[in-house]
Amino acid sequence: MGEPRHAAETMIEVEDLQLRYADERVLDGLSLRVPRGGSLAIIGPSGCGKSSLLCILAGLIQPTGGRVRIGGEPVERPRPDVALILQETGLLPWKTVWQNATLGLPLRQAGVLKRVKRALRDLGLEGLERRYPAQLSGGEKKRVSLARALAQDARVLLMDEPLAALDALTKEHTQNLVLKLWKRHGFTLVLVTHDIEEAVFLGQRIAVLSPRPARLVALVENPGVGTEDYRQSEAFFAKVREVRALLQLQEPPLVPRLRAPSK
Amino acid sequence: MRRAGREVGKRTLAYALSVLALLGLWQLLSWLFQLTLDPRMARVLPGPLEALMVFPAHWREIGNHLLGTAARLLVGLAISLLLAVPLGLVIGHEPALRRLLSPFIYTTYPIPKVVFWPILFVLLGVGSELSKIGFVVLVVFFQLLVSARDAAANLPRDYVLSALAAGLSRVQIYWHVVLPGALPAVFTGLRISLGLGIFAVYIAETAVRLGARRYAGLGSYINDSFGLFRFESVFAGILAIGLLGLALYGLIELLERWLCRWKYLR
Ligand SMILES: Nc1ncnc2c1ncn2[C@@H]1O[C@H](COP(=O)(O)OP(=O)(O)OP(=O)(O)O)[C@@H](O)[C@H]1O
Ligand SMILES: [Mg+2]
Repeated sequence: MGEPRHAAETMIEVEDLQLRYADERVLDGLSLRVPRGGSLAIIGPSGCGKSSLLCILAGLIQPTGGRVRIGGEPVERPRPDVALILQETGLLPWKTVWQNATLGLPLRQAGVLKRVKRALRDLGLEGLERRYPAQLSGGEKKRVSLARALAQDARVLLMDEPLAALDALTKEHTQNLVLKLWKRHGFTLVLVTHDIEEAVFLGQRIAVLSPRPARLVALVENPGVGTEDYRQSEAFFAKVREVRALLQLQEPPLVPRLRAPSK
Repeated sequence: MRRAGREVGKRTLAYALSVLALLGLWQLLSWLFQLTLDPRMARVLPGPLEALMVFPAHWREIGNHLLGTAARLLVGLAISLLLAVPLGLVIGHEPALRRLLSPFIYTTYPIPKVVFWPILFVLLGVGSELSKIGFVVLVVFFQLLVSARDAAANLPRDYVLSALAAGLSRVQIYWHVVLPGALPAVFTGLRISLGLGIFAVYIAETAVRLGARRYAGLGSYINDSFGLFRFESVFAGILAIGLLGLALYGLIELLERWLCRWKYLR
C-alpha cells in the first residue's frame, strides 16, 4: 500500500510469468502491465498459451513461476471483481438467460438484483430472461455474457476470443458494444483474439506473442482506440498492416516451399 | 402448449400402432405353429387373444405379481441411481480419482454379474427380498456408474472454467455444472438399465422358489406356469412384463423431458 502511485495506476501486473504443463513450457518469462481502465489486446499463434494466460489472470490456474497482481493484490483464486468470458461455451446450456446472468452472484445483497436487471435492459435482453442459450442468436449469447460481467460490476474483464464465431456484421456490432461498455463502465479490458482488426479496434495496446513458449514479441501502442469511426481511418489500416507484419514474422510458413521439379 | 399436446398424441399413436403390429405378428406366428406343428407342440405358442383372456380370470393374481416385480425393480433402480450417479460424477470430474479408479471400473463393468449371485445369497439371505433387490442393484449399478463417469469426464472444460470464474465453489460446481451437464447421458444409461434391471428381477425371481407367495413376482409366475404347461399364462406374464417396461420407459422419457428441457427446445 505504501508504494508510490504512478500517473496511470497499474491494474494488471504480470511479471516473469512461467507456466509448464508436465514437461511442456507454455509461458516463459512473460511480463505485461495494463493501466486501470486501459485495454490490452493479445494476439499470437494458435497454441502459444493465450488462453492459459487468461486462466491465470482469472485465478483458475496457478502459474509455475512469476507474479500476477490485479489491483495490487496477488491473484490466487477467482475474484468477484474479475470477469471471464470464454469463446463458445461460456454460457451454461441448461440455465436460462436469467440464471446464466446471475450465476454465482449474491442476489440477496443490496443492489445486486437491480444491477442485473439494468445490465439486461442495457444490453437489450429484457423479455428474454426465461430463454435458454439454444434459443438465442449468436449476438444475443455474447450480450448475455457481457450482461453477466456488468451485473458482477467487474473491474477487470477478460475475454478469450469472444466474438470468433459471429458473422461479420454481428461481430462489428458487438465490437462497438464492447467499446461503448468499456468507455462507459471504465473496467480494464484484456482481449485475446485471432482477429487483427478486432485487436486494433479494441486494444489501446496490442501484445504480439511468439509461438510456444509464449514471449512478448512486440507491444504495439495504439492510441487511436476509442471511437467507432476509428475503423474507417487511415491510421487504423496502418496499424492493422503493422500488426500483420509482426505476426507474419512469427508464423512459420504453413506450406513447405515447393521444390523445383527435377528434370 | 397445444403443440406439445399434439406431439404427445402423435407419439402415443405411434406406440399404439407398433403394439398392434407386434400383436399381429405374434398371431400370425401362432397360426403358423398350429398349421405346421403337432397340436401338442403348437400349444407352446398360444395367440395373443388366448393370452389376454387369462387377465379377466386371474387379474388379481397377476396384478399382485406385477406389483412385486415393479417394487423390486423400482427400489433396485432407485438405490442404484442414488449410489452410482454421485459416485460416477465425482470419479469423472476429479482427475486424480479418475486416474485411480477408472481401471477398476472398466475391469468390473464387463463381468457378468450372475457370478456374484451365490455371494449375494449368502450375504443377504437365500431367496430374501434383499437378495433380489441386491441383484438388481448389482447389475444396474455399473451401467449407471459408467454412464455418469463418462459424461462427467467428457464435459467441456469451458463450462467448469466459466462457472469457477463466476465464483462457484467446488461443491456448487457439481450441482450447477457437472450434474446437469451429465444428466442426458445418465438418462440414456437409465434406459439401458431398465432393460438390464427387468432381466435381473426375472432371474432373481426365478432363481429360488420358496413356496407360492402372493407377491413372488412375474418371473416366478411365468416359471410356475411353464411347470404346469399353462402356456397362455406364460404369455400373460410376458405381456405384463412388457407393459411394465413400456410404462417405466414412458416415465423415464417424461422425466427426462422435464429435467433436461433445455435439450428439447423447438
Ligand atoms: N490442461 C492442460 N494440460 C496439458 N497441456 C495443456 C493444457 N491446457 C493447454 N495445454 C497446452 O498448452 C498450450 C497452450 O494452450 P492454450 O490453450 O493456452 O493456447 P492458446 O494460445 O489459447 O491457443 P488457441 O489460439 O488455439 O486458443 C497448448 O500446446 C496446449 O496443448
Ligand atoms: Mg485459446
